[in-house]
Amino acid sequence: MLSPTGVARLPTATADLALDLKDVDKSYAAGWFKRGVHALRGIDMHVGRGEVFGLLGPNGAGKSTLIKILMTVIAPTRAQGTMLGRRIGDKSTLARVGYLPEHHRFPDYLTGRQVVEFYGAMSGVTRRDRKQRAAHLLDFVGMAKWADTKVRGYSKGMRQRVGIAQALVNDPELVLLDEPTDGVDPVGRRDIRQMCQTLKDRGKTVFLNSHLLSELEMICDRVAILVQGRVASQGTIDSLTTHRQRYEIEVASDDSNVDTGLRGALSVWLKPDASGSLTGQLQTGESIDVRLDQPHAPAMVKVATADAAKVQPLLDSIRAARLTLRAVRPIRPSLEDLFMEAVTDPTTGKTLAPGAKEDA
Amino acid sequence: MIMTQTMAMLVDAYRELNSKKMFWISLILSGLVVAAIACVGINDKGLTVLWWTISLDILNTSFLSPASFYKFVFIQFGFNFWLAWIASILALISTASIIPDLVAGGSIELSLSKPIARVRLFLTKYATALLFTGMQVAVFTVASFLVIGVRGGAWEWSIFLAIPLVLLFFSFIYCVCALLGLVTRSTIAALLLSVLFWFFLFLLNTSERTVLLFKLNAEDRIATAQRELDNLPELISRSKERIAIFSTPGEGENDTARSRRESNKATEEAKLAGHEMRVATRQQNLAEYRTSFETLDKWHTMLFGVKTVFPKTAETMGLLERQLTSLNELQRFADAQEERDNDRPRGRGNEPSPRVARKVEEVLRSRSVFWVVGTSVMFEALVLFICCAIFVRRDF
Repeated sequence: MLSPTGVARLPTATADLALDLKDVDKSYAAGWFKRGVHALRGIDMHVGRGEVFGLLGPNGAGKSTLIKILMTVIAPTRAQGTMLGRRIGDKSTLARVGYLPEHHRFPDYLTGRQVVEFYGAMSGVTRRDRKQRAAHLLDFVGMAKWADTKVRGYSKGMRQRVGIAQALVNDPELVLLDEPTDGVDPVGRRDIRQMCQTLKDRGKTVFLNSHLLSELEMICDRVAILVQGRVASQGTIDSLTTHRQRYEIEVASDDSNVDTGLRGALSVWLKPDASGSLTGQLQTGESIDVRLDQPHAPAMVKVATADAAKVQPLLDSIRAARLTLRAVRPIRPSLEDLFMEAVTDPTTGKTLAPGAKEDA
Repeated sequence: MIMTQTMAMLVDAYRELNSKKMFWISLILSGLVVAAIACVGINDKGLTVLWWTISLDILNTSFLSPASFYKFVFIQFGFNFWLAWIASILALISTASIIPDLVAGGSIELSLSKPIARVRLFLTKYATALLFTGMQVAVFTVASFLVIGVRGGAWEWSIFLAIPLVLLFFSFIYCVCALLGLVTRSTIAALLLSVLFWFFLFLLNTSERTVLLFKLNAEDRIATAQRELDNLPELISRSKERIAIFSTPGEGENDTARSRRESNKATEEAKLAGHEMRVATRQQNLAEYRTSFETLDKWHTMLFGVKTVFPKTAETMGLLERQLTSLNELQRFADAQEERDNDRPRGRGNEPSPRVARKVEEVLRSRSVFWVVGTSVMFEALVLFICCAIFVRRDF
């Protein structure tokens, strides 16, 4: 599944896909006092077996709706595709899937062990197996000590851990975790990350829905960003960020002639602009953006390329103009940058309002 | 897998009820009720409570056998009062939360994400509520069977009919509770509205019985008035004959004889006038009774029709009484009561007579088991079908 460089590549054969979604659509009909909502607008998504997949998006983007459709909690308006090789909505497939809902509520009269065993039984696990697995899983999620305490006495983090244990009790091939780190302290988050990694190492597919972008970035092989019911982008984090990588060249602005010096040094690439901004492009088309107007800050030249060789002519010219280079940095955008780009309206530059789009 | 899931849901339902303590409270109360019944007895002097005797002329073994006494106490108190009301209300309180808890946010996602069909999930949850109510009734019935056997000397196996009957009765109310719980997602709303529905059934049943009683009373009056009217022409012709006889003077009639004859003639003429007046009055009464009968019959037909559609809780519970107590036994009770009531001053003349009350009982007993149970089960099936349709189609 992993390439020699450690970057996950999406398998092409359907048999190698844990999830192969095509045109998943969900509309909520208008009622007497509410307008109709188009929650999902034709989702196409592919998750390979054995990978950790992250689903992200702002509130109301349709992430939980999508997961609920997969778990048959919500009926899609339209859906094609497969989950573990069977059509979406097939109940028997759920015996091979583990699920932790976002706002789960376990019966508070049960102990942690009873919760895991009960949901194991509901998944069709035999009595002997679920007894063994409950003990093992409660230990795996760090709840062995509290296994026989009633759930009503658990903290949020403990409930999340038991929730993960119940999601794994049927030894699933695919695990869907909806906000697994919600309300969990940093130690718990690290533990959950490690659990996801362990599951991946055991060949399980992990489908994560989370707002915590930094955590997804740490463990996900591939991600999809959902915005207003549509997939804004999906792929490996590397593939999504490569064309957004850039180099930043920092030039000391102590010299009074830095402005004219830089204009002169980069004149081959810069284009005259009526607005006075300094922009241009390399011969290969990558954009150049020069920032001189920041007080008490060094002058900055941003080159939209990940290729160091393409930056060299600019560096040579700057040196030839006897300007002082303070730093040359390759910049790789974070998942948060990608996310913010996805949720920003390109025409207005403002972030999109949370929530699904209402039907007209 | 089906058995594993079903067993898991049963065990879970037991744990839920156990955590609420209501299951055990109901069971303990049932035990106390049976113990109370066992403490009461009957001997040749009257009622006995433990080792004390309360002398009663109208309630002793010369009037009622110990077996009949215990059957009577079981039906009237244990069955019609305890099981039909108090225990059922406790069971409704215990189980009303099962469906709202099932569909509560955070819980339903976990249940629906398992490989179990929605219809089976819902119906299994519904069945668990009935099962635990059945367990309560079974414990109470077994204990009552032993009390009637040991104390009354009658091993009445038909008493076990109480278990399915109470379960049916409870299920008629509980199906509505389940529907309301599913729609409102609120235990309190489901409980209160179910009790309201129960009250509606009680009112419907009481209204139908009352209208039936008055309808049969009107019918009885029509029959009595008609009988009188049928007899009056004969009385009139007899009076006329006698007047004719008294109008003819006898041969050699002296003053005394003439005066007696004329007096007799006057008496007969007065009787004739009375008979003729009664004909007019009875005809008027008959017309009134017929009008009132027609009105009552119309209302009764309407109420009977409405009742046919809804569950017949009282009649369902009445099936046990039908099975355990014969009409002859009821007749004996009624006769004894009538005898006792004869000593008391009667109220207004249009009160229904005990004969009419017996006729009402006969009519109620003549209603088929299919009408009583079959149509009620059809109502329950319809409600459950609606529940399943909602549960299957709803997005949670």
